[in-house]
Amino acid sequence: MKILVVDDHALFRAGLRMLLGTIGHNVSCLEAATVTEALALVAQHGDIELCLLDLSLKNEQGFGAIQRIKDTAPQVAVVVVSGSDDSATIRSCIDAGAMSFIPKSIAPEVLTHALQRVLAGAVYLPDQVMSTLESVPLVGSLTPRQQQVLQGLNRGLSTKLIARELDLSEHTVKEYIAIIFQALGVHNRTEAVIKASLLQRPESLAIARR
Amino acid sequence: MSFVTSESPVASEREMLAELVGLHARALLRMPWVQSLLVLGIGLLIYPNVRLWVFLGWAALTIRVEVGRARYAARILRGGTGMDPRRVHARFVALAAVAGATIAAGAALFMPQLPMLYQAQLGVVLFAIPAAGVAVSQSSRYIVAAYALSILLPSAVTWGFLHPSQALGVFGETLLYCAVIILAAADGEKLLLRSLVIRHERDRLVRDLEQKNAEVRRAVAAAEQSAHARARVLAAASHDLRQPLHALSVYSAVLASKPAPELLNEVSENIDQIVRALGNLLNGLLDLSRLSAGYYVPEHKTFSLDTVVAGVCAEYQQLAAQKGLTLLQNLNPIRVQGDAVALGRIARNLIDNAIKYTDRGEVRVALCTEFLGSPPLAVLTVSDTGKGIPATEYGRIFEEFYQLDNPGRDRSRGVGLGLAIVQRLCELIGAKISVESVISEGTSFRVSLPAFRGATAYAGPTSPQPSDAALKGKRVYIIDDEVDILKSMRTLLEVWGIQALTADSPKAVERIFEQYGSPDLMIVDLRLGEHEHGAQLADRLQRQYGRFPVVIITGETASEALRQANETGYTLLQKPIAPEVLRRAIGVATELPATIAL
Repeated sequence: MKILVVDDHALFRAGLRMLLGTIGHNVSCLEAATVTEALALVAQHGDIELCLLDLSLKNEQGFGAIQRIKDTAPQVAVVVVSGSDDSATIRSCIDAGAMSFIPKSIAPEVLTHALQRVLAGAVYLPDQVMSTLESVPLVGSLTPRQQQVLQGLNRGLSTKLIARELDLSEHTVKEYIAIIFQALGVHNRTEAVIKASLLQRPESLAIARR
Repeated sequence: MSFVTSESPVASEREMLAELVGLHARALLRMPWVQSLLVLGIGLLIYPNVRLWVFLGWAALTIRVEVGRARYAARILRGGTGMDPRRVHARFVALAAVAGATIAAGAALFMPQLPMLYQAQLGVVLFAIPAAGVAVSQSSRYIVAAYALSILLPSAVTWGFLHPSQALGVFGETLLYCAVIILAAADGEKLLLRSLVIRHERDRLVRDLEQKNAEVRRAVAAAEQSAHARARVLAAASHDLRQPLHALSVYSAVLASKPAPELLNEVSENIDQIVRALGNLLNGLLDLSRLSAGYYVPEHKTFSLDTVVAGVCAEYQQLAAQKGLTLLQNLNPIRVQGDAVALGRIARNLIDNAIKYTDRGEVRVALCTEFLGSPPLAVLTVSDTGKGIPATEYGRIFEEFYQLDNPGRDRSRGVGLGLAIVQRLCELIGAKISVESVISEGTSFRVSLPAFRGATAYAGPTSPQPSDAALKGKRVYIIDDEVDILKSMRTLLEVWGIQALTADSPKAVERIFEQYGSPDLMIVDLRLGEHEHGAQLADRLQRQYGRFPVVIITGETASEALRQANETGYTLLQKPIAPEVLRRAIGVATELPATIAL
């Protein structure tokens, strides 16, 4: 699995590379200190699956970086790894198409756990975002196909890309998305990602089943 | 009032006159009407007994005079003519005399033709007019006098002619009446003056208040600015402190995830780098806060600045060589009076910066005396061949956490506190710092302070370790309330051949003094667990036994306590004390005839 780590703090980047290499299998890391470098690498390596992105980069504050990476390579799942951890920032990142958000301030074992989830293709969001949502509704089971669409949403894929990946018509994907939103009781992709991440947690599933 | 031009707090005569003529002019505007009514009244009174055309001629004349006065008054009021109030006043006096005289002409013209009763009535009216004149004149003695005399004297004279038997009495009464009216006007003048003074006082108060308000606003602005600066430092510090902590957290996760053994080396190197950067940052912040809070009390000792700077250069030779830079030094021997530690730190930070921001070429450190002014200046310059600093950034480079061209805040480039510390230190020791730079040619920092030309004992911080022979046989008293420390220090000192005597209380040390007299050096703990702290004890013993060198040792880290200790003027060593530091301190202290005591 090819992962791109974008952070302007070289020592932090090196640490992430080592951690990913240790907890993941067959992980190969590319490193970039700026968005420009990152975009060049993304364009060069079509097989990058995951991008760990710092929000506060040199000359490149904010969410524009997420957008630009998604524009260049829509298939790359962007995970924001940031020093800030306020809910508004996290939501804006998801709005901008990020799949997950890992605050740098979390404890080492939580960081390992978060990266493991991200490597496994699941969404990770810090707890405080969850608490802003109402309690989890009892979801009627989604079909495997619908769950695949949800995965696509999580990864920040466009409807068109999801359709292409699953070999479905765009129309069908849109219908599935509508069903998913209804099932999760949400109105947009950001809320869907947040809620889906909650449902994927074993402990919250247990609560949901009770 | 258009005449008020004076700014002095006390009402001047001129200003008072200006006020007065202004008021008088306003009153005069009404006078033609008043005069017309007066003339009408007199006319009704005397009409049957005088010739009509004589009366009408007189009436027209008096009204014409009043109209003339009113016109002149209107011109003055409109004017702001910039006229001298004294001249205007003089004209008013003259006009008042003319007006009075035309009225009085009535007495001479009509009285002889009137029956007795009418004469008396006309006399009453004429005598009443000057009283009204006091109000119209607005308290000018001279206007009232001119008006009253020019009416009353002709009237009195006419009466005297008509009734010679009453002449003397009427004359006396008239003069008395005039005097009373003039006195009343003078009282009014005083009142006016007082009201002017009060107005001035009020204006002054308002001005003072406005000034005070401006001062308060300035102070508030300054406070806001300083709070803003503090917030900026705090924000930058919190970012810069968090960044390494986040990185450490990642490495902690790496270690917990049982990494391959070959990774461990890199992990430990990186952790080491992070911890160093963090340590530097914290030390810089603490230094800065100590300097800002005024807890650092600079020393005033004479020392060779060239030796201090040479020592710093020696420290940086290797680092410069590693970067492929040449560290050149041209240090003329200069002695200055001040704080050697602070100047060493200034030189160190400047040289460190120069090396950090220069990729190739050289760093030149020069020290020379400048005889341009008095006193001569010692000038330290540190120049590099780095990329240079834009002129617009000259002010900002001394700000905390400001780093040129390092928005990513890469910590291998330092923490951005070096120049902030340099500037604070320069302020503290009274040195001036300036910077000059040419883009892509290099930067030059210049620190100047008064050179010292006297010859005094010299003890620099880089003084060499004393030889065994220098220490041998010296008598040193050590006072500390911790017996373990006493024991270990005595052992150490005895190894160096020093005769060490220990005491665990002021009482005990007094006994030693009684028995052996003054020592070559007394080492005393700042906190003795008694009312008296170490420096006070040293003061007392010195008063009793004469000067002897004193070194204060302390385990205190609280800035306040350290500042107190520093202020005593004794050499201060902080526990734990490394043996070589202690040895050097003993060497320096015992070499001098007496330590500096304030």
